[in-house]
Amino acid sequence: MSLTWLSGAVFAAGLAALAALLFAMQRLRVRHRDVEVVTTLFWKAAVKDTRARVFVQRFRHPLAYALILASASLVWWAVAGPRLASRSEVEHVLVVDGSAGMGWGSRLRDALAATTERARALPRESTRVVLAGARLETMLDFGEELPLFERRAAALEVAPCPSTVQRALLALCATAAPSGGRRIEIFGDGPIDPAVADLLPPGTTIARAEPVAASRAGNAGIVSLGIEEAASGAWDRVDVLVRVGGELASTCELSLTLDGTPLANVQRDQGSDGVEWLARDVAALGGTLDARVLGADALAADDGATLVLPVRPRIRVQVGAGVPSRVDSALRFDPGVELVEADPDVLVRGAGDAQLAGVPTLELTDATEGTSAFVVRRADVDDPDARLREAFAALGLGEIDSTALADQAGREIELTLEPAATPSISMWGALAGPDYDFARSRAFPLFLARAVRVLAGVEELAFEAAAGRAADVQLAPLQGDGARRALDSLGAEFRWPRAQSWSSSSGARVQAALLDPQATHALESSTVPPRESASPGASSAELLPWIVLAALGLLALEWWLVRTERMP
Amino acid sequence: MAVQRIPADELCDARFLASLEHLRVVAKRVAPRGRFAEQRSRDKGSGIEFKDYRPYSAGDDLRGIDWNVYRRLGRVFLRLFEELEDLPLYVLPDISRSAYLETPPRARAGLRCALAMAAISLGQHDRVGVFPFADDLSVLLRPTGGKGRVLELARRLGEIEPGGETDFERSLATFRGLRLREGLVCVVSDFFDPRGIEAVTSALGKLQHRLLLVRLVRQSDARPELAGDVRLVDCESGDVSDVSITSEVLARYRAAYAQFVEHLANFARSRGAGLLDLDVERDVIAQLERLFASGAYTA
Repeated sequence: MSLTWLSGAVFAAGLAALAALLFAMQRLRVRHRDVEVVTTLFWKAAVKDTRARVFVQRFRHPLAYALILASASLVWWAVAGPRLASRSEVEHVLVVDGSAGMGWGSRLRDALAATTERARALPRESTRVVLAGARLETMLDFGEELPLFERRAAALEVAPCPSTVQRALLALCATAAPSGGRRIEIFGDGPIDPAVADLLPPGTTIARAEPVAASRAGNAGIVSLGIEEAASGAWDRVDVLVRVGGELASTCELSLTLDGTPLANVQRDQGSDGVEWLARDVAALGGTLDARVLGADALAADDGATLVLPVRPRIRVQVGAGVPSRVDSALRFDPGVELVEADPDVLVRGAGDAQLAGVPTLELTDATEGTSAFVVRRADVDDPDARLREAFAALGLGEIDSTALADQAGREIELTLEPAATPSISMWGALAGPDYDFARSRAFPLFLARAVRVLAGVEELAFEAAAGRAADVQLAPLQGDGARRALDSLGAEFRWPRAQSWSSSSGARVQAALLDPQATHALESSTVPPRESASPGASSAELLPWIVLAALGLLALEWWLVRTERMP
Repeated sequence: MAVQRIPADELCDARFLASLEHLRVVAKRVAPRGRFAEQRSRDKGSGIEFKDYRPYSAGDDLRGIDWNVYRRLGRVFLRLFEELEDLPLYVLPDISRSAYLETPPRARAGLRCALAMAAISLGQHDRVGVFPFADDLSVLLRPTGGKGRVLELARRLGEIEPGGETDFERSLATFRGLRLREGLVCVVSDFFDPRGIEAVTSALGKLQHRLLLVRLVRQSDARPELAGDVRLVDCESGDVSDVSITSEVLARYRAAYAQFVEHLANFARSRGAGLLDLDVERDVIAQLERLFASGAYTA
C-alpha cells in the first residue's frame, strides 16, 4: 500500500486535522429551523429530559461522528491517491552509471533510454532512479512521474570520475530494505566487486540490466601520470612519467607543458600496457604540469591530466666543530644539503658541540658502555618494533656490514629507539673515525644523507593525484594533522571524487586527473549474475473504485439510520 | 406571520343557516326570572304544565283558583303552572393568536361554531350573548334575543380582530364580573393556555353556569408533522424551545398531549359539562349534529 500524492506523514496529519475539525463541528450547536406553533406547552414537557444540542456541550451523537469521520477519511484517502501493489511492495532502484566510462559514444544516452523504458514498466510509487556520477544523485524519486526523469536526463553529462556504482550500491544498502525487498538494477558498466553482494542487507538483489554495448575503438587516454626522484640525482628536479593507453595510444601525440611551456627532453617509449612519455629533470618548483592527448577520440574525459609539482628546497645543515671531517665532507657533496652556519633545518654535532633547542640533530656520541651504536629518538614510539623496522629501512642501515663493525668494536652493533620531543639520531662518533671501515664504505654517505632527510622530514617524490584514489598527505593536507594520509569526513582515506582542480583547507591547489584505465580502455565490467531475473513490475491495482463504493455504503447506512430514527 | 380576521361571508350563508333549523338546545330546567320563552324554568306562571298548589292570597288572579279543591276542602287554592322561560346562551369564542395561526385557522371553525350555537338559541327565542376572549374578555353582543339578529351577529363576528395570548383566568374572571343570569356557557377554544390546562379548568370551575366546551382540534395536534432540529416559537408568548425531534421526543409529546386531553375530559365529566372535539379541518355543522344527537342538545 502506498500513496501517490501525499506522504504518509502529510496523510496522517490531514486525517488528524479532519478528525479534530469534525469533532469540533459535532459539538457546535445545530442551526435550528424556526417553526411557529400554536403552543410549546407539550414540547416543553417532551424535551424536559432530552435537551437539544447546544454549543460545546456533551457529545451527543458518537455514531454520527463516526460515520462522518469515516466518510471524510475515505475522501481524504482518495485524495492521497492510494495504490495497492498487487504482488508485493518491492522497492526498485535503477542505478545509472554516470562516470567517465559512460562517455564513450552514446553509451550514456543508451543507458538512460534503457532506464526510461525499465522505469515505465515499474510501479511509480516504488521505483527510484539514481545516478552514480561524481556523487550519488536521485534522478527520479518514488512517486514522481516519468517525464520528470526524462527532463532531468536531457542535459546530463558524464562526470570525469571513475565508476562509483559500487560506492552507490554500498550507500543504497546502508538502509534496510523494505518488507517486500529491494531490487537494484544497474545500467552501465561500472565494476562491482562480488564481495559487495555479501554486504547487502537481507531482501536485496542486484542485477545488471541489459549490458550497454561498449565500443572499444578510437580512444587514447592518459592512464597514468607520476613523478619520481630525478635519475640524474638533481635534488630540486623530478622525472615525469606519462602513460597513455587505449587503441590509439600508439599513434597519438602528447602535449606536455609546465606552466604552459612545452617540456624538452621528452622521451617516448612503447610499454607493455601503453605508450610512455618520460620527461627528465623537470624543475620541482611548484609549477603545474599539464599532459594532453592531441586530437579527437572517442572519450574526451581522459585526454588531459595535470599535476602540481612539489617545491624541493635544499636542507640547511649546520655542522658542529667537533664533527669528524669525513662527515663534513660527505655532507658537503650531498646535492640536497646546504651547509649553513646558523638557522639550520638539521644540526650535526660532535660529543662536545653545543645543542640547539628544538632543532633535529644528528649526534656523534662516545661509544661508552651501555650505549647503542645507533639510537633513533622520536616522539612517536607507540609501536616500537614497527618503528624500528621503519627506521632501519629509512636510514639505509641494511647497507652496513654490521658483522665487521661488531668485530672491530668488540661489541654488538645495535639500533635502539627512544622517545624524545625533538627527533634526533645518535651514532658512535668513532664509527666515522679511522678505526672503522664504516666511514670508508658506500653505506656511510648513504646513512648520512638518509639521516639528514629523515630528520628534515623530507619524503620521497612519488605520488599521483587521481580521481577515485587515495590522496597523499603532502598534496592534500585537508585534515591537516600531519598523518600519512588525508582523511575524509568519515575517517576513511580521502579520495578525489572527480578530476578537477581542488583547493585544500590550507589553500594549496591540487589538480586531480582522471587516470582511470577502466574508463580509458572501456574494460568489460565484472558480471554480477542476477539473483532474480528481471521481470516487468508488478501492476498496481487502483483502490479508488473501492473507496467510492465504501463511501456510498456509508452514505446508505447513514440514510438508513436517519430514516429509522436511530440517528438524528 | 401576520394573522387576519375571518370575514363574515366565510362564517355565514343561507345553506349554513338552513342546516341549523332542525337543531335545538334544550335545558333541563332554566333559572328563574327569565324571559318568556320555550325552556322549562323553576318559575311558576302561566304555562300549560301543572306544577303545584298554593293558598290564595289577595290580588291573585281568580282564574287560577282550583274550584274542585275548594269544593272538596272548602279552602281556596291557586293552581300553579310551570313557567316557560328562556335559556341564556353565552358564547365565548377563543380569538387568541393561536386560533388564527394555521391553515385553515381554528378561528374559522370556532366562529362558525359560535355563530351556529347562537343561531340555534336565537331561533328558539333564547337570549344570546357573545363574549370573545384572548388575554381578556370583551363583549361583542350583550345577551339579547330575536331571530333576526343572526346576520347581525355574523357581521360582528366577522369584524373581530385577532387577539393576543390566551388567558382563561383573566377572561373568565371578567365574565363572572358581568353577573349574568345563569345560562349555558359555550366556550369555543383550543384550550391552549400557557399556564396549563389546570389553570383553564380552575377558571372554568368557578363559573356558575352550565358548560359546553367545544375544543378546536386538528390531527396534527396529536401527531405533529415535524422532524429534525427545530426551534419552536410559541405564537402567543414568543417562548422558544430548541428541539431535536426523535421518536423518543415524539412519544413524550404524545403522552403530554394525551394527558392534556384527559384532564379536560375529566373536568367536563365531573362538572356535567358537554365536551365536543371539533375538527377544524372538517365541516362544522356535521360535527355539531353529533352533539345534537336527536336534534337537540340537553344542557
